[in-house]
Formats: sequence, C-alpha cells, structure tokens
Amino acid sequence: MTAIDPGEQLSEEMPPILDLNDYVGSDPDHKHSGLPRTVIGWLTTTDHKALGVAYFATSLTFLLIGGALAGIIRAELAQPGLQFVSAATYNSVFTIHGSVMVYLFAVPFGFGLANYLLPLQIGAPDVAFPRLNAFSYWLYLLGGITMLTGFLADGGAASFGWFAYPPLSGEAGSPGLGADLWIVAIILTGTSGTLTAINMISTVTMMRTPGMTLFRMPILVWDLFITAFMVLLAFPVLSGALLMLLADRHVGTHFFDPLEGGSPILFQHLFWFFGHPEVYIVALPFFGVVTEVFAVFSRRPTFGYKDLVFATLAIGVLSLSVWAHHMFVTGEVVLKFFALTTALIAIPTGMKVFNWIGTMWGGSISFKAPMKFAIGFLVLFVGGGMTGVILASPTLDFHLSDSYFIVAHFHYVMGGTVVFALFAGIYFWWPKITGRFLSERLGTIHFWMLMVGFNMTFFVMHFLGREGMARRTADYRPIGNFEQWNMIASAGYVVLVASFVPFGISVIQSLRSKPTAGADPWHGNSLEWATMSPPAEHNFDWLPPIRSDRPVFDFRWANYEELTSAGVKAAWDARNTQPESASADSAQSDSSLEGDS
Amino acid sequence: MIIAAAPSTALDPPITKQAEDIDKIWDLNLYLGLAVVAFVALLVLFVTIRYRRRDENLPSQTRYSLPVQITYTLVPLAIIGALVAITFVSVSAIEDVDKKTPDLVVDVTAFQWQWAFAYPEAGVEVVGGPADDTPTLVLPADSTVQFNLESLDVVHSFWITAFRFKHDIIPGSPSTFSVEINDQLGDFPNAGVCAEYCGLDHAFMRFGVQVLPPDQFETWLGEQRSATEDDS
Repeated sequence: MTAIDPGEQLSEEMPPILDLNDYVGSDPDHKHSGLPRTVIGWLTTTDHKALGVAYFATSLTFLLIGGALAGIIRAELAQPGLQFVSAATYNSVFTIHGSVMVYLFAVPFGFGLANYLLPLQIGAPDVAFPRLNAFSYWLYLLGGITMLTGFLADGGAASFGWFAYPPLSGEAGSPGLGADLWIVAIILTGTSGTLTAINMISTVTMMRTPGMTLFRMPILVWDLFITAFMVLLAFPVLSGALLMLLADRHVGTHFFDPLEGGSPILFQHLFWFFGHPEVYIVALPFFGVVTEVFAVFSRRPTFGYKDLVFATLAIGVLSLSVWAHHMFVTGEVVLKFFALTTALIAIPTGMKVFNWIGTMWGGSISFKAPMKFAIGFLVLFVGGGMTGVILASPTLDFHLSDSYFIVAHFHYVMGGTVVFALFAGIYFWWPKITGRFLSERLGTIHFWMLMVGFNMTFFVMHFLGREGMARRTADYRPIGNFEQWNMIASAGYVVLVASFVPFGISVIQSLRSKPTAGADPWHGNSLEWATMSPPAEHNFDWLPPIRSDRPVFDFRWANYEELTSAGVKAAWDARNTQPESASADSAQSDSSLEGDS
Repeated sequence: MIIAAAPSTALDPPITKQAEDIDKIWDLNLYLGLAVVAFVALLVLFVTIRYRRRDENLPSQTRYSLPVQITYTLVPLAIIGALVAITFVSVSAIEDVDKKTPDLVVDVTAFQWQWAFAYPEAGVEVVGGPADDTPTLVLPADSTVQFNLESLDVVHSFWITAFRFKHDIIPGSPSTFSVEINDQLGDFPNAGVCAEYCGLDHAFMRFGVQVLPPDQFETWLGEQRSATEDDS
C-alpha cells in the first residue's frame, strides 16, 4: 500500500517493459477480423463479438432515430404556438422519442458492452449460452422494429408517454394499433433483456478463467454482473404489467380500469418498480466504462476498488426500494420512507465520484479522447446528481415533478452522462474492435461541440421547469423568459447534432486506414488487451497470469516486481520454464495450473 | 439567486404559507447543490492540471487510503442526513395543514381537457369552456382552503405554480389537500397547469388563479350565485 517513488523504480539500467504484441500471437493465424463477412454469416452468428457489434450498431441507429425525433420536438418548441406538427403528432413523437432512447438505445448499448467485453475481460472464449445470446439480439431488433411500425399504423404511433399510464393507455384512452404495437415491442425487448441477464450471470459465475476470482474482476464486469441481477428482478415486472394492460385492452379484464373497480395506481407501482432500477440498469454499465478509462489514462489502479464494488451493490439494493419517489405527487405513497431511501442512494453514488477522482489523484493523466469524454461524464453526472438530491425531497418535488426541471434532470443523468460515457467507451475500445485508431484531433472537436451543445440544450430546462413549464406539452405560453430559453435549447440541439459530424468523419477515416493499433494501444489493465485487435475467433491463444484486477498491467511490468501484484513474476517464470512442446497447445491448461496454485 | 433574479420571471410569488417555506428550502438546496458541484468541479480541475502527464514514469500505485475513504463516506452522509431531517419536518408541516378545519372547500374536477371548480357551500361552479376559454380559480386571501380532487377520465395533475405544489388526480380515487392562502393579492393568469400528461390537448389544459380579499371574495361568490340563478 505504500507509495512507490517512480524515479527509483525506473532507472535506466532496468530492462524495458514487456510488449503484449510479442505474446498475443500474430495476424496471419487469424486472417479475418472475427466478424462475419456475409449476410448469412451475420444472420447465423453466435459469436459474442459479432453480436456485440450488432448491438452497438443497432442501438446507435436507434440513438439517431431518437435524436431525429427530438429534432421535431425542439423545432416545435423553438417558438410558442403550433408551427410544424399537430398536438397529436407531437404527442406520438415525444412518446416514441422517450421509448426509443430508454428501451432501444440506452439499455441495449449496455448489453452490447456486455456482449463484446464481458467474455474478453474474464478471459472466456464466449458467453455461457451463445445461441440464446443470438436469440436475445434478434428479439431486441424485432421489438425495435415493432415499435417504429407504429408510425405506419392507423391513428399513428403510441402517444401516452414512455410510462403508459392507464386509463390513458387503455382501450378508450388510446384506441388504435399503434398503442398495441408499443406494448408488444416493450414486452419483446424486455424478454430479450431478461434472457441476456441470465446469460451474463451464467457467464460471470461459470466462465471466468482460472485465477480470475470475484475480486479480481474488472469493475466493468462487476457493474454488468450487478446490472444483470437488477434486470432479472425488474424487467419481468414490466412485462407482466404490460401483459395486464394488453389484457385490459383486448380480453376484457379490468386490472387498471377505475370504472370497473380496477386500480390505475397499481400500474404506476408496477411500472416504477421496474422504472427506477431501470435508471441504474442504464447507468451502471457506463459507470464501469469510465472506471476503466480513468484507471488506464491515469496509469493508476482504481482507487478504492472494493468500495466501488460495494457501492455498486448498495445502489443495486437501494434502487429496488426507491420507486415511489416518482409518485410523490399522487398522494398515495409514504413520502418519508421513499424520501429517505432516495436520499441514501446519494451516498454510494457520491463514493463512486470520489473513487474516480481518487483514481486520477497522484496519477499521470493523459488527455486522450476517451479520457476527455470520461471527465466530461464526471462533471455532468455530478450536476445531474445534485438535481436528483433536490428531487428526492417531496417538499421540493411537489413543485418540480412533471415539469421541465425533471426533463433537465433525467437528460443529465440518463442522457448526457450516458452519451459521454458511451463515447469514452467507443474511443477507448475502437482500436480493440477494429485494430485502428480514431482521430484525436476530431475527437477533441467532437468533445467540445457535444459539451457545448448538450449544456445549451438542457441547462436552461432547469429554469423552465422551476418557473412552471410542464413537460410533454406541444405548446407553451410566451411568459417570462420562456421564449428565449426555449430558443436557446433549440439552438443547442443544432450544435448537439452537429457534434456527430466530426465523429462520423473520424469513423470513415479510421475504417479506411491501416490497422496499426496492435494488441495494447493504451497500455490497458484488463484481459481484452491481452489478445490481438480485433480479437481472435475464440478470443485468446494465450493469457497472462492473473494475480490482481489488472493482469495486463501486472504482466507489462513483470520485471519490476515492486510495481506488479505479488506472485506475477513467479507465475510467469514458472510458465516459461515448461517444456517448449507443451506450451503451444496447452496455454489454457497452463493457466489453469497457475490458477489452482 | 440566479433564477429569482432573472429580469422577467414567469414564476408568480408564493401565495400560500407553505409555498413561502418551500421557497426557503429550495434556496437552501440550490445553494448547497451549487456549492457541492463547484467543489467537485474545482477538485477535477485541480487534479487534471496538477497530475497531467509530464514524463513516462509510473506514478504512485496507492489503492486505498482509509482516512480519505471514511471522509468521503461520512461527510456526504452528514449532509444528506441534514437534508433528510429538513425534508421530514417540512413534509410533516405540509401534511398537517390537511388536518385543519377549512374556511372554504373547493371541489376540483378534471376532465379531458378542462377544469371545473365548484364551491359547494355557495352552490357556485366555474367551468372552463372549449379552446382558450380557461377558467379562473378564485380564492380568498388569509384563509385555509381545502381542495377535493376528482377526475372523470384519465390521470391529471392539479398544479398551481404559485402554491409550489401539485397533486395528481387519479380516476376512481378522489383525494384531498389543504393550503393556507397568505395575504398576497393578485391575478395570476398563468399559475394553473395540468402537469400529468393526459392526451391530445394536455398542453392547453390551463387555468388562472385570482386571490381576492375575503370581503371581495364573498361579493364575487354572491355575483356568481345570482348569475347561476338567472340562467336557470
């Protein structure tokens, strides 16, 4: 635990650090990128990396669709009055915007991270149930298409908001096929998520490479693991509630119909029992992403690794007992209990923030694009967290609930932070997935445009909400500063969208360039950097000894015993003294021997 | 304060005693929140400048520091504990008003997409008409008013921004709440909003609020009653 004087350790006579490229095997052995090359190949693949890329591509497409729908919202609200669309269209647009962003973009992108990275980070060749995994993906895609088909239906897409409160979402409130398509779409994607969660839990419990104990797992794996349990508890509740709603609409049941003795408030409880864990289901994988990025670009171990794990567990448990803070203004919930549990969640969340700062503290920070986005995430997240603490108090929520203040709050915690962490992740793992780099210069432009655009769009919404603008309104009165603030928000949207241009250029440039990234371009910590880029078909030909949560770091510094975890050098030397003939095809069994020792 | 000091604010002054207290708690939370955000932002700024990469040496590999970990657990816990205590006291204060004997009862009926305000003791009802014909809720100053809320169709939410308070109206479960109107007189045409999305014309489901001195309020009620009798 004592600090090491770097000058002392790195005197010039010492041998250089080990280069992972010398150990991971060579490209000629693995001619293709690990991704399918034909349509049939994509349709039938069960490879977790191909499915991970499919999740990334699909969820980013839904981000663009959701973003385009937001353009209609901002165009309409730029000025008071109805200029572009009717109130009916506006209502469908904000419903599908929210639904796409939450159900089809944010959660599935996290599943993409789980697909691509989780097996790599635990040293496994694939997930536990590859075919189930493929099934999950196709179910998700089917659900997404089903939801968007609503726009073609008679009467338009669903228009009851992304939480579909009955009786408005009932047969009388929302006749038409669009509403049914929405309900079926959410059940499909929910089922897909549940199956993915089962896969993730099985993979983490059963597929870790020998030596990878629970407390040697990367934080991202922990976050995905805990997320999977939350999915398992939350998603089936939503699917159940929506099946009940569907039955109310078509089979003649009256679960939520007040005219026949049903209970609309029951739906709200069931929805938010899903809906609040959902917020953390979205957020936790991205917390994991920035944890990796902070550590690698500060050249430090994650500060307070075990705190972070327990903080994540605490968030997971608490998140199941805070749902009614979405219902403070219903007058039907115990205000103080839910105010307390909601406020308490700020403690583990705050711990994470200080863990991240502690990771950077005393480090050697390089501001590559992933790190810029991770720091951007951190600042926005603290801002969104503070408005969360304000909203945890029913006293203040009575005024702010269902206003634009809420819209601002959740766009900070579920929109801005997710997008910043997502780009931190994309810039970080792009070289691993493609073998190529993204442009640092364009990345810097992308970062600042996104930062300016995002804050222009959403910061003013705090003022709008506090001063009385209700959410989900196609129009507003030209009172106070409403016109100016809405205009600023709409202008910010343009900057926000424009920020994707340098990113797009960077992607095209990168895909046309030569693959020069190598196995370990950032000097990473976790096992995905101990294979070639892109990874071989079954991920690893070779694994370094695993003696801590940073096996690749330990291996790179194996000749500096004070810098690595205990036993790394011994394990490495023991492996090197094995007979040459045995080492080639028994790399896996080698590591299992070491894991047992 | 940034928001209140803005030159032309759409937010009406508080017209209930509860709203005055809520505004004080809002200010406290806002300043505290801004202070915490500023503190963390400065910390990040310091770290990123002080510890930027200067050479290729490996920095300290410290993983844990118990004093630091205890500090960043207990200090937030103390702040959150204080805020929760304030919340508990203020929530109790708001709920206690409901136990008072009201000076006036108003029956609020919400329906897609309009409001009706009835004064049952006086036999008076104000109903909003189609389109821009928004109703005005007239209230007497310096009195305790009880609102009985009922919805005829879907979930609505009765939000009076000058109350700093809203209450959902859920069909099938009528509910009630009370406030103490203070001595702030005036016409607040933008104060009333439906806050829960309720379908097509949700955005236009608005109402005005007017606070009259008690004697003028009685006169107004009398006028409304005779107008109703003339109609019938």
